[in-house]
Parts: sequence; structure tokens; C-alpha cells
Amino acid sequence: MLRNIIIGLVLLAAPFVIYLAVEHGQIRTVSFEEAVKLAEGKTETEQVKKIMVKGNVIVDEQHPFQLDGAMANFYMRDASMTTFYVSYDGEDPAEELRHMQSIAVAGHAHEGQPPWFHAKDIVKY
Amino acid sequence: MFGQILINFLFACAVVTTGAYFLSYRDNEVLRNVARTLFIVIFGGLLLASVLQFINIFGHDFRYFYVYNYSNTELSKPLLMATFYAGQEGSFMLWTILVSLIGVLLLPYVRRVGYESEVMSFYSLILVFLMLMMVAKNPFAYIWEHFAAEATMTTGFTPANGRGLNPLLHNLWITIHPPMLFTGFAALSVPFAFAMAGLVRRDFHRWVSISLPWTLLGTAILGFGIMLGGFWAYETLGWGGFWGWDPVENSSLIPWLVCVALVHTMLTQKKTRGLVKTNFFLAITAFILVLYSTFLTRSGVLGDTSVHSFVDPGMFAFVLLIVFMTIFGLLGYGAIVWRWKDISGERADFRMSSREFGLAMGATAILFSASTVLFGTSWPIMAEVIGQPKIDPGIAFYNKVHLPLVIIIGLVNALSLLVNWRSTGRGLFLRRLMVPLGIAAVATLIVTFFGLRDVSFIVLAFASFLSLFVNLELAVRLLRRKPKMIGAYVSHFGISLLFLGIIATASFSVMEHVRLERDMPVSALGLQFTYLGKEQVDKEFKDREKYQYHIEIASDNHKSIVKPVLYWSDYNRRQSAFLEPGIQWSLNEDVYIAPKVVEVEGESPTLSMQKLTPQPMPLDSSYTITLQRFDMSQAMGADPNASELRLGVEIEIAHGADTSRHSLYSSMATANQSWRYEPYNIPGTDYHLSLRQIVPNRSDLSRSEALIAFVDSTRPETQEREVFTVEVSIKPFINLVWLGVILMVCGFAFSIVRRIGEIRPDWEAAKADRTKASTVPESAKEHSNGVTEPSSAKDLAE
Repeated sequence: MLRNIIIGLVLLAAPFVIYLAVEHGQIRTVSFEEAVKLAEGKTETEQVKKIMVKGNVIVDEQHPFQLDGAMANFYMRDASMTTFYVSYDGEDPAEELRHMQSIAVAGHAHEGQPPWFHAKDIVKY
Repeated sequence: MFGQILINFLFACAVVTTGAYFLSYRDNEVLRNVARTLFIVIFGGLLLASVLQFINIFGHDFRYFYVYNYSNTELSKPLLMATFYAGQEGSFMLWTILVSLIGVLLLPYVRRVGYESEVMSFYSLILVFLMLMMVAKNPFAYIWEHFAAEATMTTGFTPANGRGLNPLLHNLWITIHPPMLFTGFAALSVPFAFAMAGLVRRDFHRWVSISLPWTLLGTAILGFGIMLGGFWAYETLGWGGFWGWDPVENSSLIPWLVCVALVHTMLTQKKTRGLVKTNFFLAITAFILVLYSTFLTRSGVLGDTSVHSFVDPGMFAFVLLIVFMTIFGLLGYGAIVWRWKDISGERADFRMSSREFGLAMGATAILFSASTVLFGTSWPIMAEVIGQPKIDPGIAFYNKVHLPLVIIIGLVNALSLLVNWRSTGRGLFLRRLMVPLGIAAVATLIVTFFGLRDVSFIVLAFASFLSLFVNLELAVRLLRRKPKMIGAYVSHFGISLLFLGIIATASFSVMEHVRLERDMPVSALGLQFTYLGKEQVDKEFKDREKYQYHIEIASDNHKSIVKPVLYWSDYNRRQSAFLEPGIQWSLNEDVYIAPKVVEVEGESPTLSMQKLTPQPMPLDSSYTITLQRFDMSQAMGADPNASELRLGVEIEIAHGADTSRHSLYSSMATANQSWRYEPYNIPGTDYHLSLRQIVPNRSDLSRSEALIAFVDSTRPETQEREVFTVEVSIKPFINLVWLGVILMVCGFAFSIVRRIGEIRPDWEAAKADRTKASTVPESAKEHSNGVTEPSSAKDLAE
């Protein structure tokens, strides 16, 4: 009987746990401005939840694309037309991106003058 | 060089020891003696290696990459000691030493209970893998060996100073928390080895009795280590709470939860001879989860989802960790499958009105908690497998899942203690329940009256009070008659206090953001806060300007000063600030001040610039500024007799199609170390630029930064004033959390003493068995090997 009770309870509870994990384990897509707001006042020891910002890569004379080994520094413009600096140092080596290429960067913003985005993933779409 | 040779030699010894122990199964005393001696040699060798490493660290021998990478000449002695295990190589070394130390303590014990070959063969196998990890992540590698691929360093190169320790780790807790955790991890190898020995010998019950004190020891130490980490986070890291569900915290919590469940199922088996498979499974799983935890935290797979950061250990170590886990998983679970038929004969069912049923349900709830934490912690890896960005499900997920679980655990704990083993009549159960139920109901009403409104917290409070009073009543009763048996009740009482502390801090804590200007009192949360000024500390560290901000907290009849800390360091390229909270401790509540930001209001806007990265000018975005180069020709060392040092940068300003280059300088008088900025006016504008600071990036000078300030001379000048923004919170009854954990650990200590006492007769019986065995013919000995449990075990299984 003990075994049946345990199996029954686990079968009842497992979908609830999976549902919660899926609900909370989704990355939120925000504008760069919102990303900066989320990072406000965060210090080295605080956790900043990873978020995603979608937009287009900007590459021109004033906004150079710099590939530095596996890392990359470049500019992006999000849907609300905010241009911001992105520094990528994720696990996968960075690749050259072209002007106006649509991408999403996942990571978190850093406060500063001006604020910038620290990307851990680049998703092309 | 000697260190490297020693590690390789000890690895070879570990291999031979393991082989000798496996081969000594058929009562080969010679091989057993060889293995035992070698095991002690390994321990001695590891101690020698530790002494060597301490000599390297305290002697600042930066020829060694490990010493260079984690220490420097500025560190205090306790912190230098902590650098021993601050890096990956060192933490593996600490773990290995602790495993060997526990092994040396375990040796006489397993000899006494007649389990030496079986237990020590698996235990030594663990040591083999840990030693192999040390060979792969050699803590004695020279710096030129480490950078051999880059071919940038010549043999014998010695850096003048090391990189130092992460500023987050600069406090005394690092000298206690990691060693405690690793001792717990090391101790969990023991139940694994006993479980494997039990499976090999087809001894499905006795192993539980003799490994129980070790399981209790591992659980107590690991639990205490985890909570020390929580206290560290609260007291120094400024998380504001004691638990953040960070992947690294979780990864040590998971094996601990499994161990807690194991302790309960072991007790059930001891009493009823049921849950045989469960105990084998849990003892093996707890150890596998220690390995998985190490994989999560040391492999770099959760690198960007955790506040704890560990660098990538390299492909070889990464693969080794996976191999380590796979081999022990296959061995452990394979052995269970191998003995499945035999174990299945040992089945027992429990009545719902019995204590064993309650314990099994409690263990299930704890295991479900462990599974959800494991699931949540592994979620980023699963996300990556399906091509999604890694993301941690976060605090809300864990809290939502655990609230009902903790309620169940509290209720089951209380109710299971009110029933007897085997079966209990309903009347007796209800009579026992009445008093604690009534008191718990009244206590819950009182806390509800004082403002507890959340229904789930009210239910949790009721469950915790019920558990608290049931355990208190039983503990008081036992204290008079059988004080030896008080351990479990003290532990449960502690856990109930911990739950109540969590409810109190989660429900009654209040928080407010406060902006403090110097000498101007600000009222918040019924208290008055005054920022009195700042004081520079840790001046010996050149990578930071660390300040303590003195804040006076005044209430009607009491004044005190707390000193939160906030600073920026080159260590993280000044990307985000480091902080330490200021806490006014008291028995019933803490006033917790977490610094957020220090701003100079009225200050000119500034821009932090890296080389060749154009940025729009803060005052007028039609201008773009690019830092071209640093001019350090007049910096320190250029002229030793100079009365002034000058730092400079060359910038390019673009405005439409026009570009021009300009130099900015700031100088420091060597006599009084005062800085003077040399403003530069952009021709044809009212904008003035000045160089405020150069922030060197020591790991990559090309990524150093210059801080440039901008002034619009047409705007009226405002007086600069420092504003310190803090998050003030009052945390009532947080001490219940710490007291609860201390009581829980004390309870474990009582239980360990009790269980060792229970084993004592077994030692004598095993000794008698050995004496008897030594007098029987060789053929008879062989016949008895690998057969069911020894005669003495049956008497002791109860």
C-alpha cells in the first residue's frame, strides 16, 4: 500500500512541478530600457535574472563590430529604437554579424554611462 | 616539481591500494595489510602535499600557477590559508585529503565490525578518482607550464605578485564554510562504501546499523556547512536573506536532503527490516549526487546562472567528472540490479497507523523536495540541450514547490512521532494528539492575531507549531528517563524553529529604500538613520578603494553605528559593485542595511571608455568620442624624482563629418597625493572634458578604462554632495533560523553518540567472529566468504 500511495502522490505532484518549472524557466523578452531597469542597483553578489533583448545589429563607422577571439563587442538597436552596446562572452565562440541582422541577445544589462548589455547567448532568427 | 611527483606517486598508491583491497576479499590478510599500509601512506603523502602547498602559498611562490592565480602578497594569513582551496585544484585537493582523513578514521572501525576489505575497496576507489582529478588539475603546476600553449613565458619566470583572491571571499567565513562542506561531501563516501559492501556480501541489514553513525555524521556536517553558507550570505554578501536558491547552494542541498531521507529510512529498516532496496538506492544516490553537485559547480555548465563563479576546468577535467559519475553510477545501481532478486525477498509493508509508515511518508516528502531542487538546478542544462538560452527557474519556482512540501514535512513529523512502531490504536493516537494540537492551534491563532495573513503561511505555522510541541513534549519526557535518545527530538525541534524563523522573516520583515546625505537624519521603519561619513579600509589592496560607510541607527532609547561596505574593484573590471551589509543584531530582530549605490549628486556626467569603442557624449549625443590611446609617459616610474605624476589619454571627437584628436591629462602631487584635473575645452563649444580616472584591467591592459567627466560651462554650477542609497530592512526573529540549525546539528550529535553506543556490542561480536575464523581451516573460511550476514548481525539488526 505504501508503494501505491507514494507512486500516486508523485504522479499527482510531478505535472505541477513541471508546469511551474516551465512557467518560471522561460526567458523574458524585454526592451533594453527595461533590462537596464531590472539591473538598477544590483551589485556583484546579487542575482540578476537572465533576460532577452531582440533587435538588429548596427554596424557602421561609428558602431564598429569588434571580434576579439571568442568574444564580440558590437551595437544593437531594439524595437523602441534604443541603440546600445553589447559585449558578448558566452560559451559558443562569437561569429561575425552583419548590419541590420536580426538577433536576440540573452544576458543582463549593466548600469553605467551609458548602460550596456552583457550577453551570454546570441540567438539568430 | 616534488609536489607533482608526489601527487603522481600517491595516485599510483591509491590504484594499488584499491586493487589490493579488492583482491583481499577472500580473507587474504597479507594483501589487506599491504592495502591498509598504503592507505595510511596516501594520507601521509597528502598531508605532506598540503604542507608543501601551504609553504608555497605563505612563501608567495608565484612560480606556481595556483599560488599566482588565487593569492597575492596583500592577503592576511587567514585568507592566505583559505587560498589553499579557493580554486578548483585546491578544492579537489582539500576534498581528497578529507576523504583520506575520514578513511584513516574509518579503518579501525571497519576492522572492528569485520567489513574492512569490502568497504575500503570501494572507499579507496573513490580516492583513486579524486587523485586522478588532482593529477588532471595539478595544484603544483608551474606558471610557464600552464601557459605553455601560448609560449609567452620562459621556464623559471616568477611574477612579482599574484592575481589575488576574489574580493567576495575576503572574510573569515571562507575559512570555515568550504572545509565544512567538503568534510560533509567526504563523509558521504562512507554510506556509499558500506552500501556497496552490503550488496557484495549479501548483507542487506547489518550494513545499515554499522553505517548509520557515519551517515548521521555526514548529514550533520553537510547540513551545518550549508547553513554556514547561508549565514555567510546573510552576514557578509548582503543577499538580504539566508537562502537564494542559487545553483551552487542547491547542489549541496540536494545530497543533504537525500541523506536526511536516508537517515529516516535506515532507522525504519533497523526497526522493521523493511525499505531494504530504498536504503541501498539512497546511500548510493547521495554519493552520486555529491559527484553531480561537483560536476554542476566545477564543470562550468552553470557558469552564467550562478552568483558563485568557477572557471571552466578544461575539457579533460570535464570529461573526467562525467566518467567519475558514470562509473560510480553504473557500479552502484548495477550492484542493486545484480542483487535485485535477493533483496526483493526482503519486502515489508507498513500499516498506516505505524511510525514506519509516517517515516516513509516523511522521507518521500524530503526526497520529492530533493528531486524538485535537482530538476530546477538542472533546468538550465536541459534548456541548453533543446537549444534554448540557459536560464535558472529562479526563487519563485522553488518557493512555490516547497511551501506545500514543508507543510507536509511538518505535519508528518509531528504525527509520526505520536504513533508506535508496527501499529497504534486510534484512541491512543488521539489522546496523544490532543494537547500538542490544542497548543499549536492557540499559538497559530496568536501569530495570526499579530499579523500573519497569508493562508499558506498560517497552515505552515500550524504544522511547525504542532511539530515543535510534539517534539518538545517527547524530548522533555525522554530527558528524565532516557536522555541518550533525545537526539532526534532535538533535531526536529530545531527544524520546527527553523520553519518558524522562515515564516517570521518572510511575513513580518519590512523594507524601505533610504537615501542618506551626510549628517542629515532620515526616518524610516520607525528608526532614524544618519550617515556620518566614510572610512577607507583594506588600503593594502591596490585593486580597490574600499570604504566603510558609518551609519547611526537611533531609536527612542538606543543608538548604534553599523558599517556597511560598498566598493568597486579591478577584479571584475569594475563592472558591478561589491557590498557588505551593516547589521544591528538583537535577540528579537535585526536591522539590516544593504548598501545599494553611492552617488555624487550635482556631479558632472561621466563616461567610462575602453580603447577604440566610440560612445556618444553625455551632454550632446551629436558628438561621438573614441578613446584612442593611454599616455602613461609621465606616470609613476617614468621619473622617480618628479613631484607630480601625470596620466593622459588621447581621444578622438567626431561631430558630423569633422573629426579631431585631443589629449586630456590629470595629475597627482606626490607630496600629498591630491589629484588635479586639467579641463579641456572642445574648440567652438562650451563643453569641457577632464580625465578623472584610469582603471587598469590587469588581466588585459588593452581593456583598461578611462573615466572622463563632461561639464557644460553655460549651466550653473551645483555643489557636489555624496548620497548613499541603502535598503533598510527589519528582520524579526531571524535568530530562530540560526538557533534552529544549531539545535538540528546538536540533535545529530546526540544521535551519533547513541548509535555508536548501539554498535559497540557488534565490535565485540565481530572480534569474536574473527578469532573464530582464524582457527577454522582455510577451506571453511572460503566457504563462509560472500555468504549472508554473520551470526552476530541478526541480533543487532534491531
